[in-house]
Order: sequence, then structure tokens, then C-alpha cells
Amino acid sequence: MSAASGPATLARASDLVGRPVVSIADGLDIAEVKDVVFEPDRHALMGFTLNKRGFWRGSLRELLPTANITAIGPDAVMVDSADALAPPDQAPVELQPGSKRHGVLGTRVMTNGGRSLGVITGVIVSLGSRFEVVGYEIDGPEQTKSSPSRLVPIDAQLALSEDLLLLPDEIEQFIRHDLAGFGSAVEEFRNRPQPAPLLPQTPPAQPTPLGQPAQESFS
Amino acid sequence: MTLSPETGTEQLELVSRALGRQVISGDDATTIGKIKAMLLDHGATRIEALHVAGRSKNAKVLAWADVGGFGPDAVVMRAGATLAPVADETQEAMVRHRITLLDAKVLGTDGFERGKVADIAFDPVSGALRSLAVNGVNVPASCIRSLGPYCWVVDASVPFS
Repeated sequence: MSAASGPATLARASDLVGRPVVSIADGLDIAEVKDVVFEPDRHALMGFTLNKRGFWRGSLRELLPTANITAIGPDAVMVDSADALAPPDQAPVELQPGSKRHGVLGTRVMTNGGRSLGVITGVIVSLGSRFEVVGYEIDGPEQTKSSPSRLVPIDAQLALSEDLLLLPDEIEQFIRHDLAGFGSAVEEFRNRPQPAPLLPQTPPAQPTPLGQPAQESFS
Repeated sequence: MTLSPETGTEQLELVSRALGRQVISGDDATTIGKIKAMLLDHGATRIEALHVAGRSKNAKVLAWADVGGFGPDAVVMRAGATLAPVADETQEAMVRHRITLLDAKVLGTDGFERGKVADIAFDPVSGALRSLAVNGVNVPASCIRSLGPYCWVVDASVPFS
């Protein structure tokens, strides 16, 4: 399916690790994804840290900011040319080495009614030319083989601290168990009738009180 | 879908059939060699030269401008023309098979793989590429963005098989 011709394709962000970064200008694999960096408060994909390609691959000094990406597909991350790779001092501060990172993996998930849903085990992104972070993957306390992990829209995020993600009670109806049906759940949540504010003192767009920009790191 | 060597009134040739074809001197009708590889320009729009003899740094190529005739049984080198070393890094990469035309991966600009190149149709008069056969889909040359050591890159509009 083409990203340009149908609904967005979803993938686990961790599945992007190891994907080649390919230059459209010359058909060359110039790097591969080492780590996916996103900012959970703004639900924004900030970009990728990179490894070199090949058998002797190691970390690459350059970074790939989201603004320099042409498209993210299941088989490659596409950029216009090698100029898309940015030196650290020209990349967003959240991507730069040494920036404070707050991982969301392992964060407990709770509804605002006080029901535990489990812990965050992954982040879901939409691919194509309009890539964004769209959800969390959660493994629940009662998870079994017959009850696989749950996917919840990231737009449902009411508040996020270093150890807890708070979701509304109504999230239950938007939980899905596979990526195939999750895209429609994300859209349904975005288009749902807006309820009265559940936590008026914590607007969703408000940054979490961490003091530093929070980030997800999948390394 | 299989590429046809004929499209409309234009007689097309296939890379798979051209490889190994005899190359003859137009001066003395002797055999110079066989087509070992077809070397494209940087934008992968046309054949720029034919790798005819030698290997690696000693490779000798026949510039497309020096092709007097590209027939079904042989390629005839223009009288007075000579073989030359590779012209640039792209040609050298193709001579060394770091860049290959057939069986190479094809990626869309959307990051979705379309498959691998089964064959390539080209105009034996001008050397211009006309289409790629990729997983049963005929990809017009106008959709080609580049060819490199990793893959061909084609427009995102190219359909999937």
C-alpha cells in the first residue's frame, strides 16, 4: 500500500530500529536507525540517532531530525540527500548527545478512575510522509497469550509523569489489540464528542513538570 | 507482467538480452569483446556506455556515442572510435558490480519496497531507458529517481503488484 494512496500504515517505533536511511538523490543507504527519539508531552517524533551501515557499523555522529525526513516506510527511512543528516550542533536539542531523556517504557498506566492498565511497552507511529506518534502499547497485569498487549491512542494522554501515565476512563472503548484496527481507533478518539474536562487543572498540552524536555529512547 | 521489447512503433531492447552480446569493430570487423555491463548516467535515465573489456581499474568501455549500430545479434562500434577507461565513479561502481541494474531492490520515495528489477527496456537507438519490470509492474522511466549501490529509487506513485 502506498502511503500516498491510502490510510496511514502504523508500526511499532522499535521496529524502525535498524532500518536503512536511504538517499533519494543517489540510491545510497547512508545510515541506519539506531534509536527513535520522541517527545511524549507534545506527542512529537523528534528524529533518529544513527548507526553507520555495514558490518563494522558503529554510532554515527550525525543525527536525523524529523524535519529532514521525506518519508518513513516499513522498508526504509527516505531523505532527499545525504545533506539531511545534521551535525549535533545543528540538530534539535532533544536529539543532541547529553540531553536529558525521559523514557516512557516501563511507565505504569492508570485511568483517572484509578484502574491500573499495566505498563507502557512500546510506542506506535504512523508511517508515510505524515509521520507522527499515535499511540502507546501497554502490557496489562492480566495479560496472557489469549489476551495480547493493548494499543491506546496517545491523544488520550491526560498527564504523564516520570512513573505514571494517566488516561481517561473512556479509553476502554478505544483499546485495540492489533495494528490493523488501531488506526481507526485513533481517528475515532480524535473525532469523538468532546466530554467535559476530566482534569481541568491539567490541560493535555501542558508540559509535564520534569524541568527538562521529556523524550523517549528505545535503545 | 512481462516487458515487451516493442511498445507501439518504437522497437525496444531488453538489458537481459543485450548482456553478453558481441561487440564488433567498425574499422576491421573484428570482435572486440562482449557486453559485460551497461553503464547508466548518474540520473539513471539512459545508457552512457557499455563495459566491453578488462576488469576493475583496467576496464575498457564503449561510449554510447560511439555505438554505430545496436542490433539483435551484435553491437557495431563506430569506425574510428576507440574503447576508453571508465569516465567517473558511477561508471566504476557499475563495472565493479557495486551498482547492478538487474535483480536490484526498488524502493519508493515513500520507503516502501516495490520488489526487484526483473528487466529493463531501453531504446537501442538513443540508449534512453523506457521502463523497469518490477514484480509484474511496468515502471515508466519517468518515475525513476535514482540508482545507487543500495537500490533503485522510484516515485511513490508507482503502484504495488
